[in-house]
Amino acid sequence: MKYYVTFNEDEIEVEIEVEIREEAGRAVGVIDGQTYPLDCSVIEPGSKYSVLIGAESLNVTVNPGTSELDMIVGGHLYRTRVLDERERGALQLGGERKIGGGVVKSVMPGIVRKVFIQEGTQVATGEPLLILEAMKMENEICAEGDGIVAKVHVQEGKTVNSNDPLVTIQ
Amino acid sequence: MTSERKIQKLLIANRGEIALRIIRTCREMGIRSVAVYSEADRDSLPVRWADEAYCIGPPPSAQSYLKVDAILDAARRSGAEAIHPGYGFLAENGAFADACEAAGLIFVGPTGHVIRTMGDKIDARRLMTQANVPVMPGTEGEISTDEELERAAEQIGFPMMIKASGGGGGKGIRIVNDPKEMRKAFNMARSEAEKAFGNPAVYVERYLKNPRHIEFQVMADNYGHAIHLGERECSLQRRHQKIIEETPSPLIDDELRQRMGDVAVQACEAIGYRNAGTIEFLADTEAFERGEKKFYFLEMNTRLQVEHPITEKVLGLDLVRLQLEIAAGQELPFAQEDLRQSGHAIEARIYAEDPNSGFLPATGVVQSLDLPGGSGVRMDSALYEGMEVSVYYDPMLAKLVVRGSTRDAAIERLKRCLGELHISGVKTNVPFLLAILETESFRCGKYHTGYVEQNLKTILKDAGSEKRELIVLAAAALAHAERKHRSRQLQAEGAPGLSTWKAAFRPGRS
Repeated sequence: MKYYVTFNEDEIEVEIEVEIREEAGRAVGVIDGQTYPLDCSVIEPGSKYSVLIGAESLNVTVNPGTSELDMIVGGHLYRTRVLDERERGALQLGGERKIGGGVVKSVMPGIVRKVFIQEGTQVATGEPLLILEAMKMENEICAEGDGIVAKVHVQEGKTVNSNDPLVTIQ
Repeated sequence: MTSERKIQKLLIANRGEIALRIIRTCREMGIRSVAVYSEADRDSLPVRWADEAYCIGPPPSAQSYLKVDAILDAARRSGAEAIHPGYGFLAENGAFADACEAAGLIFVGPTGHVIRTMGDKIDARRLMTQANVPVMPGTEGEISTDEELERAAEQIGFPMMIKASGGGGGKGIRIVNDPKEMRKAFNMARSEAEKAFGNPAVYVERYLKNPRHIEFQVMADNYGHAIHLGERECSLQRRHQKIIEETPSPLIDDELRQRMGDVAVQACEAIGYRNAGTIEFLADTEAFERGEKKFYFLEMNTRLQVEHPITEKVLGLDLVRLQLEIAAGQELPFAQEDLRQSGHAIEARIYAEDPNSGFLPATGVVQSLDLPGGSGVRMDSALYEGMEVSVYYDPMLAKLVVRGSTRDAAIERLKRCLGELHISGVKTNVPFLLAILETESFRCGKYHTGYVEQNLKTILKDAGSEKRELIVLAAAALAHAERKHRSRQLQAEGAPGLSTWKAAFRPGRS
């Protein structure tokens, strides 16, 4: 199976093809044309691996809850995105999925202390929408784009979790 | 006045790493330790490692670790003679110290009166001025109206700081750069102060641009002897929360150390301090560059500090042991001239947070844990595999403390240890800490309290490693393959299994 690995997406894009296959009963990886013996031992399923590539030993911890693959190797963070050839094929067929914007979501668990806007309010980028209190700090949640408030999903005093919708802007 | 009282049993009114750290010293001193815990902490290491443990309520701190009655009740039931408050929670609550004394218990710390005085920043400023300790120019007392605010702004100028009188540890501070932001910041500071500290009083102080935060550990016994235990450089902060601390401070030479230390001792003596405390100073870096070594009293922390282990590392002392000996009525066992710093120590605070998403607190269950070790390394944490990191408590997971014979050796050791530390299941700031250590400014010891925030983008970029080594790419592919395989298996069988995957990728071993 071929894998396409992208590094540091928002910075410089580097994509490399990695092919993992079996040769004479052992796993090998073909990375950028070079063949290496592979040995990946699962220390903790889904999150921690001891990887031997050739004789190079790597300890890999995968951060939880990421759609991308955030790996910690030697204390450094590697933000990667990996697609295998099937996933990549499906993506190329379907084209880029459009992500519906406009919903401001809570980025942390907290309590809504103040709501500055109501349905129909015209807001501009950077304008404060509400104050979310988390860990005893008041955080201003601001509009990330211009638009009109279509719906306010919370009221003052409401406890919210991460990813709860707060305000919909059109 | 005070005489010796033996402490045979100590209750620790705290949780997490500091509770464990105190329990460890108790064990070494032959003192029985009593843990108190909320329902969320039943499986925590302090509960498991203490000699006795009492549940004091549900998970929210207000219903457990901040509940004076429940804690005093546990003390009564256990028969403890003394209470150590740790840091945070009730450590700087004068009423709690008083309640302990009233219940016939030794409070390991200063008197309730001293805690209240130094906890009120306005009172503390006044007292320090009287004791000839340099304080930052600012308002003499509270400001409560817009008119007073405007008058203060005229006197002090911009940028200025609005600070909560009841605040501390960086909470309840607003910096105002622009007169237009002044009223909004004032109202927010008051409302925050009211909620966080139960006291809306705020005052205004000159805002020093890019200062260094240097604090002195002090220790005083019940007989009027006070000494200082050297400084800690705590300028690496983000939103007033310390990230990395070191001692000795790269800014300080022996002459200045003696001068600042003398001022710290003077401050202690002026208020009749006893037990462990910390005098925090701000050093004016712009003045330093002109050759004027100006520093100002910032505040006093009337408790053991989070970062106390770096002092222990360079002096070879156990500060909790000293605290307990002093609380039991013993005299300070040494004089100022007996103390000499040896080598260099650094602490890095491991937080459960995601630097790449605005440092949001991260939650989760610690799935597996590799802790660093080896020479000169101390890991103060209460982490264990299976521990749930919840929203109820502070996101600090651990303190990684190293000592080296020189500053460079200590830095290399800390880097080595951060590479060894692997916590899976919860995101941490480890890559961010490593990136800070690798900056040129940290290398040469030239940084200030604004450094991290002003250079956040560059540091974050470096935390995402530039090294796109091929083998790391292959590792990513492998991890992806295993995760995919696992989720397919989960769907198929409803339970994870590894044998097939291992057979596919480790054919020689299965």
